[in-house]
Amino acid sequence: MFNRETFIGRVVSGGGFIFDFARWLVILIITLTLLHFFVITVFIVDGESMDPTFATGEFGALDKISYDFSDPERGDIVVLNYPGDPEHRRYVKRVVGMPGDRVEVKSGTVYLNGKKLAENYLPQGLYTDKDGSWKLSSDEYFTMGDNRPNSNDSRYFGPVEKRFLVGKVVWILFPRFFSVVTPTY
Amino acid sequence: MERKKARKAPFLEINWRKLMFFSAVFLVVFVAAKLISTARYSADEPMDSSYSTVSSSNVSLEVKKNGSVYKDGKKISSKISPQKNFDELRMLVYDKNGFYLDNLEVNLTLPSAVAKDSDPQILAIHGVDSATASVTNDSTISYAAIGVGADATITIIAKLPKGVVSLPFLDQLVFLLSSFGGSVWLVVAIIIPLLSIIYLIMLISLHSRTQKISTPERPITAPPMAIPPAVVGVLTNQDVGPREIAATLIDLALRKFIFIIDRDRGFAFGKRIFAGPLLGFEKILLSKIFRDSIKISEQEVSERFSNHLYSHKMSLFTNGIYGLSTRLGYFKENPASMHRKYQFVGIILFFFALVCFFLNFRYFPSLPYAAFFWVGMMVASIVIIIIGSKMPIRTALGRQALSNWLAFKKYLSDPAPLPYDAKNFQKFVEYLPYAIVFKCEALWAKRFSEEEFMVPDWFITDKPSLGLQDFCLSLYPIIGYVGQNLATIREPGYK
Repeated sequence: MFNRETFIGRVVSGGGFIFDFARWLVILIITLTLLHFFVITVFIVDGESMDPTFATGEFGALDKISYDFSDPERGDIVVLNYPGDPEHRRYVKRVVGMPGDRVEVKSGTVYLNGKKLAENYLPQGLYTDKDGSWKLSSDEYFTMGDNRPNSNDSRYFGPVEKRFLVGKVVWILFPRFFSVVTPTY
Repeated sequence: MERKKARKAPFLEINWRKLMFFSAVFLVVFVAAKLISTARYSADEPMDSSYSTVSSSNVSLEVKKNGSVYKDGKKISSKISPQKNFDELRMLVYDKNGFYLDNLEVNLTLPSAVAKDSDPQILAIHGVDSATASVTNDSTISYAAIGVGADATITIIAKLPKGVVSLPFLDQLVFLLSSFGGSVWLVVAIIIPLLSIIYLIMLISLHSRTQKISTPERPITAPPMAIPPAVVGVLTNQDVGPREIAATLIDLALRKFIFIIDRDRGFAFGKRIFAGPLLGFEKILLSKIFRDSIKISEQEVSERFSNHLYSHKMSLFTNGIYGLSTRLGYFKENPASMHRKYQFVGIILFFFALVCFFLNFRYFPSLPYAAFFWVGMMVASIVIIIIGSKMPIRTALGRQALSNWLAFKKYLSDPAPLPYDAKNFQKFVEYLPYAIVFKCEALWAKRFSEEEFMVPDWFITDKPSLGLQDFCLSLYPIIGYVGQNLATIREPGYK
């Protein structure tokens, strides 16, 4: 298969070290670029709004391909382009409200379609401020940080259209390592 | 052919190693800078607006019919972007300006009376006391923010009904292309190289039809003419590759110019006194391998390869064979020139696609899947380089000569065993260089009996009673390894 006389052999086989290195580098960079933009990438959490789930400075893995084939689920932790500056700012938040939902924040608690939302992933006694009510359209998601007192999220900038969702956080890689599991409600 | 080491030919026969190397360095820097600058995703927290200086601001914006936006009468870079059901203005009007504003008011004038249908919104974060968007009159929207902190970020949004603005053709085209999903672009990326392959194969078959080579019915039992095996290789493949180099080495050994030593600790080449005439390219090959030495070990041979990124001598060797084949009247033009034409087109296309691949992400973020198109083009360029060089350029004389040589190939690859006698064994080594360029050395060896094999005097080995199979297993890796590596160090443009 890797014989020079086969097509694949011509692609994968090579000459001296420098040439080998350069050739593999070009192939590697193109592959990594495609992976980075379309499949999976690594990012750094910057800020405290997802404490204690994620800490600032942690490295995470972002799945960019899932949402091309399926819709986000409630409880997914996502990276989104901030709708006010989509080209430059990206935030890490949790999807709380789904399309069609009515989300209400009242007296420190989140209500979905009139029912209290049980958020087991939040520290006990955490108060969700910024009272308000939002009716989500068929393409909108309501996102919030897990550190509610210190999170700038849909309570401030409103629901987020699906086009602004970049992908789903699937792992935290460093310095802790764990798989990010979508909670059940 | 077995090889002693897995050293192979240059990447896609391009040979532009230095260009590839520096391009790779450039790409690493570019991609690293890009990734580092964009990969910090903020888990953003709100900020307090109760500090900084006090002032106020009124901004007047106007959207023109062509989608451009004017601020206080001057054109700015913000513009209307097309979406599926509306055309959208999404504009950052205040971004961490570093001073406190009591209030900020933005008046947006639209090109027609559609303010009520434009779903105005204002997004204000990082320390803004309150923010509102309201319709002032049929064609004006007013955005207001109170208590704007120094680190605040305020964005205004207006979703204009389709048809209110006439966007430039390029914007409309980009929007149209962005509406295609990733799978469409993936199909395009597969189709482009496939079309290139189909086109080139059709072109080759068209040329082949007009330059038909008659297939011999009967084999010829001896070489039809006395020409070097490397030239026979070029006549057959239009290409000087490792096999032509390996065949030349064995031919030189047969003519008693060199001998090959095979020991447990490695192989070596030895030089005899030159007793006869040598062709120019043969002299160059010997000079490349031996320089001024009489004997050269495996380690020294390896150093010959690894000390050079390129070898001018190997380029001259290649050119010499192409030149001789052309002078013999076998080709309409020098095959090297024909290879260069396709290499040039392929390389230009490859690097053009490579640059566009990265620029696509930079300048057309709404069209990320278009990157597949450029990957498809890169693959197509590789196809052009590989298949394009197979375009037949033989003359009538070349076609007739090749027809005769194919009859001889038929004899070499005939499965019928040859009767044992010393004369036939002499034939084995004598025709071996031709079998190598015809890629049928294994079939040729199979025609001979294993017993009573006489190792030729130019192959010196410390292994006792070497049979035919052992001889092949010892010789082929050595010449394969040397041929492969010498082929890799030719200069750019030589193949």
